[in-house]
Amino acid sequence: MKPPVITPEIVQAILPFVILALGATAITMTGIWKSKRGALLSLIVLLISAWKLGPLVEGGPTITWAGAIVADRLSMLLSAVLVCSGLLTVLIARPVLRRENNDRPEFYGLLLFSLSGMLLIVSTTNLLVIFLALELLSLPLYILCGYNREDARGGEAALKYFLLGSFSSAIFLYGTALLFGATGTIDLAAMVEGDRLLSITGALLVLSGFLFKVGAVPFHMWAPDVYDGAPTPVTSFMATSVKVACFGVLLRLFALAGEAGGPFALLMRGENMGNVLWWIAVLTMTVGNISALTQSNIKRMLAFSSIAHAGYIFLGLIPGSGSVDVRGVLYYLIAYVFMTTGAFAVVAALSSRDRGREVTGVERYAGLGFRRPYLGLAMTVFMISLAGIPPTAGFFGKYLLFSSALDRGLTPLVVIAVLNSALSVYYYLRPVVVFYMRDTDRPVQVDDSITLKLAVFIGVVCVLWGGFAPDLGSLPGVPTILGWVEASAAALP
Amino acid sequence: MAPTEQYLLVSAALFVIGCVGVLSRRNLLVVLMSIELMLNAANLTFATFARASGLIDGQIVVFFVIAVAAAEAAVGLAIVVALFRKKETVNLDRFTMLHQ
Repeated sequence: MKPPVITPEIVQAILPFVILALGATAITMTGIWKSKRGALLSLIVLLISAWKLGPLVEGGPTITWAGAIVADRLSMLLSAVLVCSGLLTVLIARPVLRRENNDRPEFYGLLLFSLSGMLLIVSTTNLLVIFLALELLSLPLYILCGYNREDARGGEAALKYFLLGSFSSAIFLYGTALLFGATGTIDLAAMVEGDRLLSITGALLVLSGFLFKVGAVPFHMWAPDVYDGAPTPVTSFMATSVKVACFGVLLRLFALAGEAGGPFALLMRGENMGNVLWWIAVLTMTVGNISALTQSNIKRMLAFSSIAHAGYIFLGLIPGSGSVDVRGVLYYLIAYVFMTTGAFAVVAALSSRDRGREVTGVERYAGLGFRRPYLGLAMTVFMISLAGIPPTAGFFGKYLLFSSALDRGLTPLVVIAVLNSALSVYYYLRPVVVFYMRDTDRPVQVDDSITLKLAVFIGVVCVLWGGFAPDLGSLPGVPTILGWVEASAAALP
Repeated sequence: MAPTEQYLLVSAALFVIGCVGVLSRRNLLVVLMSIELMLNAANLTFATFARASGLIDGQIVVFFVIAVAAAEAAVGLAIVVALFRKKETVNLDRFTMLHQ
């Protein structure tokens, strides 16, 4: 075997990742002289990374080192979404850390390390690289959950996330070992079905590892507790970026399996009830939605809602009589990032700490809709988007996923999903009702910092753009999210 | 030399012991050790398959996993120490604030 050659294309393909990793190292080092410029530096690093990413989004695929780096349009679109999510997280995090007197560069360093892992995980088909990237994205997150050391609940969240996260990584790794034994390769793109028992066990274990990370039933128990205990900016980052990264991998994995067979194709056989993915989708959305109904703490409510959304996304991963719905899943992921980050930005603006403990009850929002009209309006937009009501990105994402699933003959599943989405309207509209229809004299502190406002504004613009732009798609020269998504979907088989 | 199956059985046993340990033990340090056991079970499986098939990939994976396991243990122990300073216990059942 010839030693791998490093060509300019390869350097270009890994540059966004390398910039993030080096930037993370540098920012962490600035902690030595107690720098307060972590947020600014990380914004600069993220923007440079995005700038290097730009030309790649339109470029052709670069596949190298036996699938260790796959820089095609899919991975570049996902990377761009992840970098956006990182930018929004920094915007949300800075004011929150400032007012808690906790603004240290380590936070941003860890955030960028985690983000670099995510960029890596979406651009590879090699199981070893996937494992390394999974750890690179998880380890900083474990620390970030317990970032506020005054908050005992944050520490517990870190512990819980660490134990279940590393448990799931170990399961994933054992599955990888079995797949290697069955097929003789660790490159997903080259896998052919080997020994049946080993293949099925290995594929199931690898899948469970990812189910843990995206918080799908039956591996969702950690999500509400961890999301609740972690600082709000970290929760926002976990709820969105980790899901984008892991669903990106699952998307590639199932798309490859649907095309070329291999161990994961075994999991995709069987119509409706006979398919393990079918059950995961149904259980995840139903359990998520039903549990969310009774939550009065908005962070827990959003945690269960993120479980439910993972369920909807699984709808697109079931091939049915066709193939995996790459377009629907990608669109939904993008919509999900902006609506969830936006909602968390509003939560961050309204939360406060009481003896180290973060207070985020819905009842605190009483009357704010009229006293803070823009904030109230923004929260309303995010909530109706999460509930899937037009004219928002959330509605259009659901429309794409559900209609494509109907075409693939998954009618019972779509019926369940639509019922679920109707159920979810109840709990999504509750914060809006509290915002506008109740009033108290109790003053609530609202964070008025410019970066939080910017994050909320970007969220609203993207959610509405994603909702209206599909109709504008026929106009020449108007860029649409759907257009980018379709171009990326074409990159997969 | 023992046949491949025996090595695989040992590694499967290690993996199951690790799994049961994580799920049933209440001492945080024992849980951490169980997780390490699971990672090492995977390592043994990789090495076994690599040797049986003559492919070097599996053995390369093992090196990476050893490094990652060390990093994971460092982070895990740091979290445990941070919590121990607050609560003076390493019993998992005492960490119950998140359910309230």
